[in-house]
Amino acid sequence: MFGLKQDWQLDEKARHFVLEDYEGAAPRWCSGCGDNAVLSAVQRLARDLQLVPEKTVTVAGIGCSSRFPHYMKTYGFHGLHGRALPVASGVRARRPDLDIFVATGDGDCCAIGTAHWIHAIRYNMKMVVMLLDNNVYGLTKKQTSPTSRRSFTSNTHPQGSLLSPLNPLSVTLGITNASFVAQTVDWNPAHVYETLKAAHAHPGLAFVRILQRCPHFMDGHFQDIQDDPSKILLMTHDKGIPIDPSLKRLFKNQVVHDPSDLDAARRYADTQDAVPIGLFYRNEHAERYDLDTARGIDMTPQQRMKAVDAELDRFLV
Amino acid sequence: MAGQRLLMKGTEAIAEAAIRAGCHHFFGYPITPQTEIPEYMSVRLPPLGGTYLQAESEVAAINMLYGAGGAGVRVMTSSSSPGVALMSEGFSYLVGAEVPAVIVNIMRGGPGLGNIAPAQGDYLEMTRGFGHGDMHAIVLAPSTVQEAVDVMGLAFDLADEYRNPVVVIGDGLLGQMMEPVSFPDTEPKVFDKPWATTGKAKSRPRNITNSLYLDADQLEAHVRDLDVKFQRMDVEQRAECWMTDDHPEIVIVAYGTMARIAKTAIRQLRAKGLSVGLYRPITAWPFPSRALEPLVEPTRAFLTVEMSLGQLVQDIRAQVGRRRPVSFYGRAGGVVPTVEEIISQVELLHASLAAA
Ligand SMILES: Cc1ncc(C[n+]2csc(CCOP(=O)(O)OP(=O)(O)O)c2C)c(N)n1
Ligand code: SF4
Repeated sequence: MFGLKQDWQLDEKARHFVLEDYEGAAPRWCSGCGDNAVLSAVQRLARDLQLVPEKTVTVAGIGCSSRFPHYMKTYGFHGLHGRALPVASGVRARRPDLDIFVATGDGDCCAIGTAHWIHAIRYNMKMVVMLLDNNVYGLTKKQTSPTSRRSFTSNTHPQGSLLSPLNPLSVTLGITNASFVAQTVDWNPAHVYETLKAAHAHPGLAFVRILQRCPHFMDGHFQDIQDDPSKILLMTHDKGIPIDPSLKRLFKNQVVHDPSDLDAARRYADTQDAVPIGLFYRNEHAERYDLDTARGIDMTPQQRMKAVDAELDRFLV
Repeated sequence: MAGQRLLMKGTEAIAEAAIRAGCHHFFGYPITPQTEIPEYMSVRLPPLGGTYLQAESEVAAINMLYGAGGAGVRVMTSSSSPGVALMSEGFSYLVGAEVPAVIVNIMRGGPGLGNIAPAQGDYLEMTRGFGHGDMHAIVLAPSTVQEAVDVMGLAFDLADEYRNPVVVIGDGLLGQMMEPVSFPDTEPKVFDKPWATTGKAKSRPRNITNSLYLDADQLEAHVRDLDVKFQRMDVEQRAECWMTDDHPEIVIVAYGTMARIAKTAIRQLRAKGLSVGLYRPITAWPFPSRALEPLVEPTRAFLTVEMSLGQLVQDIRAQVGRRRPVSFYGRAGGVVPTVEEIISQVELLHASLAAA
């Protein structure tokens, strides 16, 4: 009638989301904790992309940083220590319609979760993985993490940790089928935002290591690179993370790095002289396990029953 | 030091007792509420020429224990409920390959991540053979910091004697409380370990630490041998019967910190004229049935009190059967039954016995 559907009033109203639509419980991180800055970047990104809250899920393991899901007013999954990635893979395997953000810590991802980390990278299921790396175990009150600097004194290494830190970037870039690897620093909101935006747009698993301040246990830990921007190596490229002109002025130490060059990416990841930030590597054509696991998702119950029966028919006597 | 009284926190006393029992090799992963044990070890062991290693996970820690224990040294790990659960596969291998080790579980609220508050919800998990396959392990459940010290020495001796891992369970309260303790001044016992993988002398065949027996008959023979050993462990039963000599009307059953709270309740109940005593398992496995048995006839009713919704009570009911009523009071999720709650439970029970 007059071009209107009879049930037109049931059509979903166009929804517009504001920041508060993504703000869950009040964060209980310490003041000055870098996790706060990352949370607000994710909330802004969600608003700017108008992500539908009920179609967005934040998955975490256990740690300070893993409290993330409680603070997003989206669906959340506060999982097991070290297992954020398999949980997220499980979600992704059957819900290709969801936007998935994973928050994990350096203990969560790079100690107890290491095996999962390697395989999740290889599965390359579409999700944004944020490694909030404060170089320490925060939640359990200052123990050594695999990314702690050598000689770092903690409650489990009072004489100083014995080994050089594990480099999560080199590890990830060394895993077969890695498809997106970037690094940013929590104290530069613009760079965090642009990095996460690029990560979100990536068709596969986007691994973003975020150097995260823990003023409570690691006071002043990143102060040197914070105070002296020349200690940061800004990786730029027109296929890389879009860089605001102000960032270009702040970080004088720059290099043009083509993110399709894996060998160069690995060299930059290993750089000792400066902390590289930006996109190390991106391959939009890497294999994706989630494309396979989601197959048959639109089958009707009748079709499924038929398939079950067809299989059982083989056992007919 | 030895013989002197020292004021120590439960977790630290447990660690120190292990060191004094000759355990200079610790592998673990942090988890609240027991991280003070690895932290203490990290300070104490390196100067002793021992090994302190923060593993990348509990799964790694139990397997490091398997390796070092297999090499014949006294080894230990400690964790709390979710972390201990991760160790169950490795634990079963230790049993299968007959490698001694000590595992401390400072239990917290569950299931899942639960919380870090004290709980006793892992009793069944620990006592029913913590791991896959036909297996058992001695489980010691101290109730005071001093007793924790004492059972640590015992745990290492039992582990070596039976070539089987031993579990020590406590709750977060035991771990956090400060009490005066004294450490034994005896030298740790030394056990001959001809089975250990310590390098082969020409005179003997090589040792292989193994739990694999592909042949069913061979595996059955091995499991039967283990079973004979588990049955021998029955002599290790330990329990405390407190204020039971006068055949009280009601016997409270509790272990660990719960038993201490029960003792306070019993003192107050006795002051009110009620006739109450305590039966406290110290070995959660083997279940101390021999100490319980003489209490069954003279007691009119049992009341089991736990920081769980009913686990130890299953063992009590299995033994007491229909001979006497066994009631239960428990709180979960890290909530600890209070003295007042126990008192009111006993008063209710007493009233119902009087009415009957
Ligand atoms: C199986 C298991 N083992 C140990 C723990 C205790 N635990 C919780 S978080 C954590 C480490 C946290 O460090 P990290 O991942 O770096 O996160 P942060 O707190 O620093 O953000 C540990 C050891 C646990 N919850 N579960
Ligand atoms: S302890 Fe450190 S990581 Fe945890 S909330 Fe505080 S500042 Fe953040």
